[in-house]
Amino acid sequence: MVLANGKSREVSAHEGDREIPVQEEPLPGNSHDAFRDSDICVGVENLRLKFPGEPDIFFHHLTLHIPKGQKVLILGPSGSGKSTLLQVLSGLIPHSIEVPLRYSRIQRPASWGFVFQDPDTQFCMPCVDEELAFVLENRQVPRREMEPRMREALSRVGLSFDHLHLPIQNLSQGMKQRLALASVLLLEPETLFLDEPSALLDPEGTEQIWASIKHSLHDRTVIMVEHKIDAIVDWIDRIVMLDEQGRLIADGKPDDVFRSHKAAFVRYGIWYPAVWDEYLASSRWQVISAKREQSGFSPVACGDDREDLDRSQNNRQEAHSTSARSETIRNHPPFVRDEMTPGHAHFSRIRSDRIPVLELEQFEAYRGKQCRLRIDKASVGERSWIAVTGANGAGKSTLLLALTQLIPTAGKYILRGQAIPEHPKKRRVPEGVALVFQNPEMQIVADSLFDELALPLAKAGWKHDKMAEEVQRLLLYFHLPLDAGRHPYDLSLGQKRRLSVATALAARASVLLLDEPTFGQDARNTFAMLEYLEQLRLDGKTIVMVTHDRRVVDHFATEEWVLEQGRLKEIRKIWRS
Amino acid sequence: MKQWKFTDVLVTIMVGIVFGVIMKFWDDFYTFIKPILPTLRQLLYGMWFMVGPFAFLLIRKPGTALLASLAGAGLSAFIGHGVQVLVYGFVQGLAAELLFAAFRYKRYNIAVAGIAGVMSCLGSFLLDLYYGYADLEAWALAVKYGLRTISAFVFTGVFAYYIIKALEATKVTNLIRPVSPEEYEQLDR
Repeated sequence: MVLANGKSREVSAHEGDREIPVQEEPLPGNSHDAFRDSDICVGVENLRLKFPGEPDIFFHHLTLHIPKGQKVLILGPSGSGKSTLLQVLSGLIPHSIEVPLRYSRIQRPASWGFVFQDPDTQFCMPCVDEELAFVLENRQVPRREMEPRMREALSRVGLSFDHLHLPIQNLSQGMKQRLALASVLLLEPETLFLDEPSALLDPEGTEQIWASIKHSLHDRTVIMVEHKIDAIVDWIDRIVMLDEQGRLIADGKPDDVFRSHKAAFVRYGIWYPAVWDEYLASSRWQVISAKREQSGFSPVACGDDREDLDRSQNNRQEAHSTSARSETIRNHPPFVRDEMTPGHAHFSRIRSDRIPVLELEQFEAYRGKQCRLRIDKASVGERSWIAVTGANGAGKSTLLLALTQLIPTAGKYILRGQAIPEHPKKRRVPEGVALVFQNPEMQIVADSLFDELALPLAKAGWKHDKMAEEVQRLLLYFHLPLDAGRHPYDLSLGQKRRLSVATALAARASVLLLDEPTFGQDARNTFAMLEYLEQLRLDGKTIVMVTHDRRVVDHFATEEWVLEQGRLKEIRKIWRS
Repeated sequence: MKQWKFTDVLVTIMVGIVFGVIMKFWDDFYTFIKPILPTLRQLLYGMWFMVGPFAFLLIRKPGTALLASLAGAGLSAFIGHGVQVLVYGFVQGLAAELLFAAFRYKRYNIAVAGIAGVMSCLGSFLLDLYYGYADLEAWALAVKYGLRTISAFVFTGVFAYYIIKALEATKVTNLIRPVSPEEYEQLDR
């Protein structure tokens, strides 16, 4: 709070039933009063914040001033408080959510709008026109002016509909985010806060929303948090980087910050433009690549075969020396133990990659009464990594659900030589198959990590006294917190995903079906997850993964199945055995 | 008087609405059971008192119990039970609210929540008298409302308390409860 004489007063967002001690906070050394500068549109000084029930303090006297019209990108690792900072600067904290904080001064923008990351939770009305009208009603715009304004806002974000009375749930995720942006634009805000608007969008949606943002916000102040920065790095003026506790570690022009804090970019898992190239040139990737070739796979390369052979020879030699030191790929995960695998022991010893794990013939999958997927003939070999790709609605998730028998199917489905019955009285999830949903929370069934893992372990035949040890080993292997009493909901998204994969493994699954496991994850967690899966594949598991990410397909998958409108259009081999 | 934030209003109303839906199904069950267990079914009645105390145990701010109870009753009225349900919701919610106020809104254990339910039950008894549903002999009244009181305590005290405890384990409650002054003091260190 700035008093009339310019002196500032310590403020805490807890005015009300407590006396707030008045402290005169001395102005900083240079007497330049940043807030007097009318160019500053948003700013805070000496911010500290603490979440109730958590021990850590965030921001540690953070001071930040943002002038009008600037485009600022806030970067940092997960959990560094980036979204929280946006909420403080906009006023959502403390006005809508009470979180203890203190600052010596703050300036919030006169008018602002906020776009969040989840396209499905940002709307309060079911139809497009109602949602936009809600904003206009609050601004007391007369009824007859509403429709032209709505259409104008929609066109600014690149949307146009003949009739505006559409249900929002029929739009694609990218369109929903653009609609959210349009409704915020109707507020005519000076400042826009964008909290990872493309985090939950596929590549197409991401492109759409960034195009809309660049097109419609060029004259406003924009403060955004993002992880995938290659689409916008040329548009922003300034990068502010925070560390794990919200301390400011870099602030400046994008190129300068990138050059001086490259290591932080890598450590924080930010998706900067060169991240994949650097990964592919790294020793971790060389190890993976070499191990694949050792196990009998070779890339279906286009180009000079001889050249490839030479390169792979060199890689192999290098790999031998680095693999001993490499900690990323761990050998022999703890759960491959013959005496504990009732009935499945002999499968892990099969070395031949010729026996198909899964065969489909005239396979159909039904959602309701409609046939949504039809596959004439396909087979999956042992130790394959199948990437299932295709446009939205092509049937990718349907395929995974069909393989797990969660939806009715028809046709031949042979798993490890045993036919899955076509029209059983009661459909069962086939033995050895496990599905990992895109939203890991949908699979969490217990109140503690121990119980969550003990359930599949018990089903797989583990005795109670040996379970605690095995749970600890699983937690260690998947980099999960070792406190097995912790509640699964109390984990980050990446940890919850790993927990889902851990439960699939605890259930002795040999065929892992994953629905976009790297979606919305930062670079570090993405590579870590892919490396886990690769290690599992080397140990004999088969992986079928739905993904949108081309780089993942081209480098990690051994085969790509392209689906289009419910049919298998193409099978592309990437690594041949 | 702690300030109500927007999230408080939202969460309270959501609790009311969820319970409104539950109460609708419970009502069907309650009606269905009438020919089988006309009196013993009073043991089910406690569900209708659960809204207010549940919301208060969750959010721990004054006014929550009353507002949630009204929201739940509002939904029930809207579904088709008529205005009378609103009156019941108001009186029952108010009764619970006054009990929590009597403890200065600082007690959140089973006993207090249970007694709040019993107060709501008393409110329902008075309304029943007024509307003519309690036209029974003294001994019958004792049985009926005695059972209802037990039910009230079990639902609003025991059940509500343990459900909230389970929610607390997931840490969702951290951001919706009022923040204690100690948290602010820690920022000063």
